[in-house]
Amino acid sequence: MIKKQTYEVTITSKLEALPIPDMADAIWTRIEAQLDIDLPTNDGGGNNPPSGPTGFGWYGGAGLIVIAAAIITFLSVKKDDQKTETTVDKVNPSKVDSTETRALAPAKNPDSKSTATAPFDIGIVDSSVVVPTDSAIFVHEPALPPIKDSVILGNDQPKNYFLSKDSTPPKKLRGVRGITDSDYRIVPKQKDST
Amino acid sequence: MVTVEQNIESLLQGCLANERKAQEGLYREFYGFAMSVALRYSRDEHDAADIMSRAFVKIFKSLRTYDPNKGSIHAWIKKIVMNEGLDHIKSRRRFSDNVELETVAEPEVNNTILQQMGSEEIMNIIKRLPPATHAVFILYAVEGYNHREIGERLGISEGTSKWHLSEARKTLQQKLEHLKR
Repeated sequence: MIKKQTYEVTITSKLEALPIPDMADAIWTRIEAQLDIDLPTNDGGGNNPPSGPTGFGWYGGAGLIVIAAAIITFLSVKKDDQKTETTVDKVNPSKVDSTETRALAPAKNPDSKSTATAPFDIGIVDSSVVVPTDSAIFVHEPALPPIKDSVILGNDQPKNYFLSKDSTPPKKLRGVRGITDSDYRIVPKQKDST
Repeated sequence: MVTVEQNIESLLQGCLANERKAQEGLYREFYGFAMSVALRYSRDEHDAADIMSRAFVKIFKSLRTYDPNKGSIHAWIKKIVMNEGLDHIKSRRRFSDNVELETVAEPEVNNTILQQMGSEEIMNIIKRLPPATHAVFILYAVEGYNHREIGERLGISEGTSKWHLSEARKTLQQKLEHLKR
């Protein structure tokens, strides 16, 4: 602190005696408005900004959304299951047993009987499975339902690996070209009448 | 009978609990005291109102940092209002560090004329000083800070503070000489 000169003491005393303007209410209104923003009270004052959703509001809303999503997913999956089974039965009720079962396990047990789960097993069939061209699949090819007409499986239709040229390696031709099986057939030319 | 100190203590407790009524009570209790400080750093009443509103919002927001063992609530509130006043002056003009003085010229200021003048007349002369000179003069002549402290507060060198004080005294002397005639 410095030692004040006489005139400084006079100025200080004069400034302390300055008349105070009557602005207390106006200034308080501004302070209160700012406090309502920065330090809102818990007494529910009229100027308080509305509070956002808290507690149950957030968690309840989120929980309802999750539950609704789970129900919708469950129902849609169930509906798809029912439609798939129904359509398979309608389209080719007799071929399900013979064609598709043989397609799934042609090497191990070609004579086994299929079950109702056969259509769903198509999706996990390994494309590396090599099926001979003379297998029953190709014999019964027209019996398979056309893919584009299917309303059951939608965009998630499993590929028909057995009919696709890309998925199975082309069979290597054996023998001499130009000679067919009929050429090896032994047919008696003429009956010796003599 | 509730004393003033007890009343202030009660208001402070209410303010700490963020009670609006207590905050208003504390504001009104210190309105005159704080306004007299704010007026020293302002050009007019509207500037003073700006300083007051910002200072009291700061007071209520930082009341938990007030330590009664370090000083009275009056000194704490005065410091906050003063800092707001200095910020207000700084916002009006950048403090230049280009001018410095080694020693302050001490022109003779006629105290007799000052005593005859009203407080508002004296304040009007001070308000017409350039903002930086205004701040240095108030801090030195009224608040009693030395040049090192003023330099720290305003972010200027001691020499610059001395230059501003010298300019303030010269201006004050000229104005008082003019009034004398």
